[in-house]
Amino acid sequence: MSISRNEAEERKGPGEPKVSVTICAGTTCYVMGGADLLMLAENPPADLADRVEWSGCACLGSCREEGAGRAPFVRIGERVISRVDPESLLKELRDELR
Amino acid sequence: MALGLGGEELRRLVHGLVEKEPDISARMLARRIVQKAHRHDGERARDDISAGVIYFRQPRRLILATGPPFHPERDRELAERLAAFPGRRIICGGTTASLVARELGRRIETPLKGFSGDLPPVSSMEGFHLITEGILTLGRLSPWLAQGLPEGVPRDNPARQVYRALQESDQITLLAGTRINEAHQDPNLPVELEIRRNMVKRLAEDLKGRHLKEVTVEYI
Repeated sequence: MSISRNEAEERKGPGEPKVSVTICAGTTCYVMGGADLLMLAENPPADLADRVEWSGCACLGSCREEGAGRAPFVRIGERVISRVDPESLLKELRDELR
Repeated sequence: MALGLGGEELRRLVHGLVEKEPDISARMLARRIVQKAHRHDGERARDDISAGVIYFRQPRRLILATGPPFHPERDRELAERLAAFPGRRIICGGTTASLVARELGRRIETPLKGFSGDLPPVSSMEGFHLITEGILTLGRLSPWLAQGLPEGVPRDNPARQVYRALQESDQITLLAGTRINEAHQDPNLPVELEIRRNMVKRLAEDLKGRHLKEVTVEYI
């Protein structure tokens, strides 16, 4: 499920510039690169540390969904992205926050 | 002239220790006694020092659930079974933890603080002693049960936490869900993930044979 950027902007009230990012810590995601994402979440770059709420999740369930793409999965706000690596995640977040 | 600790002194020591820590383990109590006797000898034992402690108590029970049930209709049953268990409850598996949380209406928290990168991080849920990832964690723990814990494993390592919980228990129930996660068998995975059923069987064998635990294995 995904929502448009505009809807996401509207949902964020004033004083709520934070984006919530959830890294899946499940088995498949972990071995496919999730470990690197979790390390990133623990030590995010300075420009994102305040504007992003980082958290982990025991299981997003995406690896079992048909057509969800390939692990590792990350949930940003309401949408889930697939085949994520640290660079692509950072880029995604910086785009989102602009 | 020191003749050794003596019965009266020993009794006082043991009473004191047990009063301060009623759940002290046999191992720890024996260690304290030996330490005291050693100190009494000025840190140079004048003779052999041995302490044997036999602890008569209620068995410590633990249930470890790993893997979702083969039939999703039994998810609720699994969750309720865990919730009702009179002892420590551990879940090894994100999918399993997730479904249990859903059925019981509880939240799972997966804080990332202190995550070392070696194994997926632990999670927490009300009513559960420990929640870890599944196959990788159990796979790490399996040779430890067979050969002992190697040096240098951090105390907060998830597999070590499971290991400790198992060591501290007498009666262990392993509840293995048999639903296959096909993503685990994806040839693109960089590691080979063992089939859960085989893993659990091995764990049970080592827990029984090497660690003298009373083990029940159930598949769901």
